[in-house]
Amino acid sequence: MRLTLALVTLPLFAAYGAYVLVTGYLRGMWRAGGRLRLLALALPCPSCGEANPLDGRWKCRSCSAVYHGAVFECGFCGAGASFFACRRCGISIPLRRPS
Amino acid sequence: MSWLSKARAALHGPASRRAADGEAAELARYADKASELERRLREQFAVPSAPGTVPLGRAREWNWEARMPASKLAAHALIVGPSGSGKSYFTALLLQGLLASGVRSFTVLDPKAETVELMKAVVAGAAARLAPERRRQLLGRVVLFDLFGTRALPRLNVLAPVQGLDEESHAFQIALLFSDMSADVGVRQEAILYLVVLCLLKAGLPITVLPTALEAPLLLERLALRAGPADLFRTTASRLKKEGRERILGLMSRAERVLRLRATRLALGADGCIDFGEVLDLVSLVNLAPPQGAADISRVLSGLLWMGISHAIRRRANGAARCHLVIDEAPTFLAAGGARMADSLEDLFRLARSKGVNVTALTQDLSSIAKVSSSLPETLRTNMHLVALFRCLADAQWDFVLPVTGRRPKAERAPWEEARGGYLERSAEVQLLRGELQRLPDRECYLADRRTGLPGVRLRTADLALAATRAEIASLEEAAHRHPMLASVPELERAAEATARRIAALLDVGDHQLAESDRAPVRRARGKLDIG
Repeated sequence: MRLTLALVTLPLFAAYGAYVLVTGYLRGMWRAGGRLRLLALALPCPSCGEANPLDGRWKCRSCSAVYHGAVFECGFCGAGASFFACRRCGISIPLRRPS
Repeated sequence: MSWLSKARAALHGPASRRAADGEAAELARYADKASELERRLREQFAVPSAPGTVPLGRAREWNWEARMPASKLAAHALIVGPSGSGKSYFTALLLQGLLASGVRSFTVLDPKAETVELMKAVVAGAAARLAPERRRQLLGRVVLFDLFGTRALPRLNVLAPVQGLDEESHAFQIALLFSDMSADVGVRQEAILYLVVLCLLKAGLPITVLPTALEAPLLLERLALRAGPADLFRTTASRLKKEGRERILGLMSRAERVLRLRATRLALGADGCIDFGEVLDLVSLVNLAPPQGAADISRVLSGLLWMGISHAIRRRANGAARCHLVIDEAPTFLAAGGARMADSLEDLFRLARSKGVNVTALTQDLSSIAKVSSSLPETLRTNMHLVALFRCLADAQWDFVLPVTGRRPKAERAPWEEARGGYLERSAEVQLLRGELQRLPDRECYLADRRTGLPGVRLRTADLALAATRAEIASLEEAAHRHPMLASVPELERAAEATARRIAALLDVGDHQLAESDRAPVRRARGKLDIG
């Protein structure tokens, strides 16, 4: 009886496992793609298209340090920002892709 | 540091250095924006030194020499500032520059004698630098009108016919000037004054006869036999007789008040009147500074002069050769004719430029002008192309002159204050500049050329080249007093005596021929005649 149940559910688990692996891989690729965008020097604003440099003078919301560096990583505490404002239109530009 | 930061550093170099470089570039871009206004002001006010350019001073904020082409100074100008702040000095500087660039037609009307004294030194200095022939030509164009002088006086018979002005309007304007001397002249008195002035004008007599004509109506009756229209003279004489003695005495006292100084009687009683059109075309320095206690006479004379000058401006052809008219202490000058004169000034500003006349008005503030006419300050602000503001109470009316850059840094913070870097907001900058305007030291001003659409530039005015010696100034005064437009005192005395004899002859009627009512007035009038 148990063997029968195992034989019946095994494909289901296998299918679910395959699904989890594939979606996890895709999600990972999607996120990595998002992070790789930050290798560029500027990000375009999704609203007005203005190229916003990622490097500049920033204030960390976590530790309040003001630093010269990249917007996505505080130079003091290492905290990461999830968005910053477009310098032209003020719309928030995401730094991380939603999962 | 995350792998991403490391990867970026490997690809593009350290982010912190890039950020600092980017910020420096951004700041430089803003600095460029701030210097944009300076660049445009510099284009307007700092032309290279060359003949035909006039040095104005040094820009305090940017430290360059301000200089304008003389052709751009051919404009209406308003110079505002308290006494001693450097208005007259700046005006003399402008006129010195114009003289050096070949301008030989300007008139200075000065109720304080301050600018005229300065201009004597300026003109003498300019003449000294010229070749002998050109010096003679310049000195030949200088006329010094000292309306209370003792050596020579202008022929100022204001009732002499004026080309292009009908006698009725002429008489009306003169009568208004006399009745505006005090507010308590009634309508009937005004009408009588007008009729008597009109009779004198038609009879070719000077205004100095006015008290006698008011005193003795017989004079007008006798004139009716010689000058026309006889009806006018007879009607005026009969109105004078019918009018109450108090009213006539009131008018007489006003006329006698104006004529109480000998210099005034001689100038107004001359056998002709100077051509004001010619006055505008020469270097005319008009000193209206009254002796102690004669400010009221100076006001009336200012009014009479203004009347002559405004007719002369109207008579000029469109596009006539350029000349400059400087009115020092404009409110004092305007007070002569009151609101009516201010109205005529407003009209004149509108047409003066097309007639080739550039008016420069100097005043301590606009509120004293507003007392004369409420609309005149606005007219001045609108029509004046060049505006120079010396230390003055700053309010919104002068904001157009203030050089707001939008890039003035905020004041440095104290160590215990929160960081507040960046620039002042526009309103805060305007407040800051208004404060500076109120605290300007002497000889510093904001100068704006409204034709450019730009605000002003803060200047320390240049130094006047007052190198003329006393002997050179004395020789200028000598030449200016000998100008054919002036008459010597003995010459004017002869003219006054001739008029007095003419009046005496008209009144020379035996008592038995006179009506009872005429006897006393005629006797009094005869007694007042200045003969011999």
